[in-house]
Amino acid sequence: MELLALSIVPLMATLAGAAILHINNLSRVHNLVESMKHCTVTKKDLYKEMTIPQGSNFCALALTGWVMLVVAMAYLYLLVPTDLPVSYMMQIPDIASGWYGFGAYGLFVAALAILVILGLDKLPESHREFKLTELYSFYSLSKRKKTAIALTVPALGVSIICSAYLGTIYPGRSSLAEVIGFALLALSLGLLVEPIYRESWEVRK
Amino acid sequence: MIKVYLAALVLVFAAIFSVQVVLCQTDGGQGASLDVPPPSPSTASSGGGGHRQIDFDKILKALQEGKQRKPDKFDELKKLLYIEPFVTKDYDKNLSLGLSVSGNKTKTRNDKFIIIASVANPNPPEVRRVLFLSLEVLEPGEKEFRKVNSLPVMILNNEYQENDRGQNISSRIFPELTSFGNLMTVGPAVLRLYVTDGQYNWQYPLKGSEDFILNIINRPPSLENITLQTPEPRPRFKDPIIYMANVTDEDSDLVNVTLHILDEQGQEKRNATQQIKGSGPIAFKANEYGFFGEDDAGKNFTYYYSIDDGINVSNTKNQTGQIGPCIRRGPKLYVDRLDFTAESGSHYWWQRYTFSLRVKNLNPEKYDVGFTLYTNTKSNPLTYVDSKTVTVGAESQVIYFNQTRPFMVTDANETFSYRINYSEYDQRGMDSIEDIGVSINPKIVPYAIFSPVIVANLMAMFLLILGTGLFIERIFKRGIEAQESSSNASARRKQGSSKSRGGNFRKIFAWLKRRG
Repeated sequence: MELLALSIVPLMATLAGAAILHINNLSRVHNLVESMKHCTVTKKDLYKEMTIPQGSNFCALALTGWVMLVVAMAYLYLLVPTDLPVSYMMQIPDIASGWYGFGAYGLFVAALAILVILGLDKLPESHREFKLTELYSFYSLSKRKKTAIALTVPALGVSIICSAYLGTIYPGRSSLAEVIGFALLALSLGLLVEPIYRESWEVRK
Repeated sequence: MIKVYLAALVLVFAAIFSVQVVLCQTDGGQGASLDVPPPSPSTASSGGGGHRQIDFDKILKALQEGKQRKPDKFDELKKLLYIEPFVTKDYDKNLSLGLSVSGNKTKTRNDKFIIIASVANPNPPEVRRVLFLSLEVLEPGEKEFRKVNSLPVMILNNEYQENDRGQNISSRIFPELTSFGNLMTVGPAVLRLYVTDGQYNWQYPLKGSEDFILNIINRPPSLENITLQTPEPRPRFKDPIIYMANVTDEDSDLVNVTLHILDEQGQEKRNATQQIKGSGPIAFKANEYGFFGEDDAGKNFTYYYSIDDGINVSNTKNQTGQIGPCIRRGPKLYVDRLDFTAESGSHYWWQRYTFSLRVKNLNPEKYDVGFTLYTNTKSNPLTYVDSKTVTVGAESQVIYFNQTRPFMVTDANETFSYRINYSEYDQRGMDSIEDIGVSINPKIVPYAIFSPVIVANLMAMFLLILGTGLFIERIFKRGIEAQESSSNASARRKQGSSKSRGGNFRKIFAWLKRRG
């Protein structure tokens, strides 16, 4: 199997790990608080007290970063034919080769991601751990970290451009573009999930 | 008969004497001796033993004396001894015979029927004899009768039934003759029945009587829906010209249908024959039979059919509408140098291609000829590209299909071929010419990464995603709500309510974080 196709595995593992750890973090805090208080504490109340304000601008950029992450992954792995079973350029070549093909593809993926995010946002307050819009309200973020998370937006933009380049030269290949696209994607993913992993790591220490 | 009578008498008297001997032996047998002394040859003693020989003279004398002295007893004896002979002088030879056929007596050659022979026998069962039946037929056109059944059909003595009129009737069928399908003639078929019991012979019908006749007829075939199919009212000589008709033959005979093509003088130019069994459609394709050639251009033809089922022959000369085809005159093209050029040597699917063909008319006249261009790939077989009509004369000219876009993205990485059809025939007798092209470049996206199209796509996408993120945050205000929520919590803490779960809770949480 191609290396590029295989590289999706660690990314998906990182994402899955982040999701699990995030839920685990909050669950652990909840259990500890209840054990300390020797009474039942609702998650809603706990989350309300745990909330750390991050600011509207940061939240907007973080949300944009997550949507761009999904679009960047779709561009890198599903735009040109690889060993993966699905490929936009092979399944719908008529649209992919059209003047609006690339933009339509990215916007379609973004729309799907946004729909999922908005759907999760409709969950009750007791399930705030699943809301991506409030992901960072449970973690302390320094200004530097916020800046880094915000910078994932242009980084992912460059990754998308590299993937688009691969699409325009297909069936030609460019290892450099693949590496850059993957590196920026992985770096951005790392920055976006870093607070979760750090929190889990600190607890273990 | 007299011998039988005397033999019977002898047997009886022998029995009587035997009985008398036994009785005498038992009566006179004081001492119960069973030894029977043989009688003396000349004495018929009833009281002694011994071997007695039958003396026919004495029997005869006794019978004569008995006839004279006791005629009643003699008659009675005669009755007891009388045996009816099997054949007596009362055997009735007057059998009544009959022949019948299922349905009426007019039959087609393929009609199925059953021949029934019936016999009325006046004799009682004990007198009857086995009867043997044979059927013979004289078919139309034949001079001698032939036997229908190779083995005679039998009627046994007990195979009769009494009908309403008290007659003893029996009947037999002849499965060997159920139709006249093998006949190739029509006319009367004569049937005769022969019956014999080994001694007497009977015949039906009787000699001199009216024959039993089946009238064999034939239903001749017919043709309907006679049509001539051409791709245009005035076709070219090589165009698909089809003569069609429907044959009907109710007798399901093997019918020969012959198509006769006549020229303008009414002379038969060509004919062709097809066979069909029974009813059904027939079609004569002119190209298959080579009815028309280049020399026939500009001529008008007519046609008719003749049909023959082996018995009846008829034709459709008198029917109207059997006109055509009218072969039109046209050019005789000479084509060569079929070629193409692409916008660039990369042969991308989105590029423009120019196709060309050199053509001229081998005849001196000028004609308008239609040319149509097709391309062919595995993904898009025989795709129409362009067409044009060109006046073709004796001078060569090149026909161009300029700057066409014949391919789609699905043709990428496939080898294409291209074909030009024309409305006349060329020097090879064909109406198209074809050639194989090259492999189309597998590149799918026609734009470079920094082309305005791609840049605009990506920029629009980025801006829309960013704008959507800002818009969602503006709507949901997660960052602001979190701030407000946090502010409220701080305000409560400042109130210093120790009973508030929130205050203690916050401390615990902070403590936990420090521990983390």
